[in-house]
Amino acid sequence: MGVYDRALEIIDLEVKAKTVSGTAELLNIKELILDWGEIVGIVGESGSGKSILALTIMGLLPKNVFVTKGKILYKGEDLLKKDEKFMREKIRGNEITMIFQDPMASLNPVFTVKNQLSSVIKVKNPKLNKNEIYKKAIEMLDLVKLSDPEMTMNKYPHELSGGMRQRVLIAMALSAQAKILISDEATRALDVTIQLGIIKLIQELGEKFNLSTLFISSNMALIASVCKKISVLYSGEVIEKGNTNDILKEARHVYTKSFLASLPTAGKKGTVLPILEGNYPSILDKPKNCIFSDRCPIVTDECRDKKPTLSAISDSHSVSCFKNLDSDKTDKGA
Amino acid sequence: MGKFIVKRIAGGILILLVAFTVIFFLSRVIPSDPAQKWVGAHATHEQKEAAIIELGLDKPILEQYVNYFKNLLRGNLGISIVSHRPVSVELKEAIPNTLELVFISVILAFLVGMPIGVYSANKENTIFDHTGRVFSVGILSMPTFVVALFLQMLFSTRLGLLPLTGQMDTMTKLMSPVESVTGFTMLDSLITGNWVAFKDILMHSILPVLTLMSYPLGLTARMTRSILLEVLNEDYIRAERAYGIKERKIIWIYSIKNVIGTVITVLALSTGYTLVNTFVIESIFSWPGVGNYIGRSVVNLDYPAIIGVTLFAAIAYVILNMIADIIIALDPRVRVVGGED
Repeated sequence: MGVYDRALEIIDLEVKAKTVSGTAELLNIKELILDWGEIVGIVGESGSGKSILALTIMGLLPKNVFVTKGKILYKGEDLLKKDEKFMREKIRGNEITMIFQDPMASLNPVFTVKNQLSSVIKVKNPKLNKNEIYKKAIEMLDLVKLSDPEMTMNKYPHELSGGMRQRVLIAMALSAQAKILISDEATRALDVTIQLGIIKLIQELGEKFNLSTLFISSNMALIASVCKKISVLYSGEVIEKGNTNDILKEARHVYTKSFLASLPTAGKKGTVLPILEGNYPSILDKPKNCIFSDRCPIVTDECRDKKPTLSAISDSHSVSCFKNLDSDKTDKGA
Repeated sequence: MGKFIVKRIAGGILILLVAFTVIFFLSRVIPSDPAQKWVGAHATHEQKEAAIIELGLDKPILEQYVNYFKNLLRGNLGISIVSHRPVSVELKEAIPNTLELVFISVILAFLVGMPIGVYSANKENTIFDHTGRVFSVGILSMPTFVVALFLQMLFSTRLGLLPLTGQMDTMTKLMSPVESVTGFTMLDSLITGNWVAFKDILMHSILPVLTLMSYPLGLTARMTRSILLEVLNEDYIRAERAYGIKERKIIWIYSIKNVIGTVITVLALSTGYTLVNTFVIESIFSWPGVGNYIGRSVVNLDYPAIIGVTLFAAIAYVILNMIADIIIALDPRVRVVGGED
């Protein structure tokens, strides 16, 4: 696909926030790659920096949050070097688009669906006339499988259910033929039954439009069912990444393992799910050693001393831990 | 919506009834001698007795109340004790002059205050924002009569640019009198093409308008800024940015519509405050409006006039509140209680 082999390439990205109590380190990502047509999952608990990652790529960071170093390469260009105007006109919506986590709050409450959808279509297709825009809007609503597009058009957001709103938002997100989709916990605020429909829709439309998707979620089961590759985010850092099978079956990092162990599955019925002891490291005063060392049950002096880097243990699988690099012997002990 | 408005009107009438009752009895318990005022200081005892009967002051107070109320329904507000002219006629002359001042002030306050608020929010924590905030808090906290005196001193006494008081120069009144069409003097001078008078009234109104608009202006700017800042942090604004909508459209259309209802509501309510403010300001500027009129009436304890002005103020408040309610009800999210929706 195209001249550029990678859809999105994040290199050595560091994002910090200025707060009243000091500088907070939000993200420190050495490398994150999204290939064309691929769905890459980013999994992590709340506070791990998932949403900040999405907003950094979109260039929509809050005013007190800054990128201190790194690159985000898209089609060979570093998005972090682009100004607001370029991002707005050339990138957002028609190259990279995003679905947000709270459909209840992501539609403007005092405008109709028609108004909001049309203006997104219009801004990216300035040549269309009113009729064509309307037709295109109906087409988009049809595409996201809203049962009565014409009726939905004239509704205000509060007259729609959460699932319907998320479908409208997906229609808005995809109305300008973006190549990359960032889905930031798109189903978080929805009922479980509706979640499935939305996920299927995202997958389907992804295939139809040949989208490369960054699928962000805190739900490991969901990520595993949708994505081919997974990166595990802990306190703003990728601590393990690999193909879905690598992560599910051969997780190396203690954090990933306990994340998986805490998932309720049919086989664990009646047993108490394990809880990882300890707390998240403070983002205001991040440890210079391994960020997980405070909670790690197999911690060594080396971990308290130095910071591990993400190192490959197979072609597809890498982990950021000193102990698990020499694979098998430490594995069972954890 | 129709049902809702009818309900509001009914409620408003009830409020007016209560206001009328309260002001009627209040004016009767104030120690005063209306009959003496009616006949003047040098009248005989018989003349005063006759006046008591003429004014109906010999009747029991409840009967007076009922009579007054009956007259009120016929639009008869009684006779002014000081001028011996019908209060309704005097009010009819005064009210348009006041409304002209108030409307111009509030509309200008909105047109100037709103953009200031928007720019302040947009340039949060810059020099423009800080200056704007200091300015709006400053004029909000300064008593309006101080503003009035300050403006008079600066523009009239020192610089001599604008007239000190009044609505028109005596010369203008004599040479090019304004023909009454609507009763609104400035509007009439415009309609009849009386440019000399129009220019004169305009010059005279600048200082009172500046004084009166200071409060709603500060309020509008502050409200717009704080609500807009909140709205700009909403998820839907972020989503709109994510889909490439222009910042100007996001601010001036998508955010403003979320802001404007609240601002206009507050402005409508502050119009009532502005109206009461004219009571002082018109006295300072000798503007021939309701404020000036009630000033004189209160000093002379001219109770029919006081009741008349109070009713006018109450009606104005009720109408303004109703406007505010209707504006709120226009928001698609609000489901009107008692409406058909």
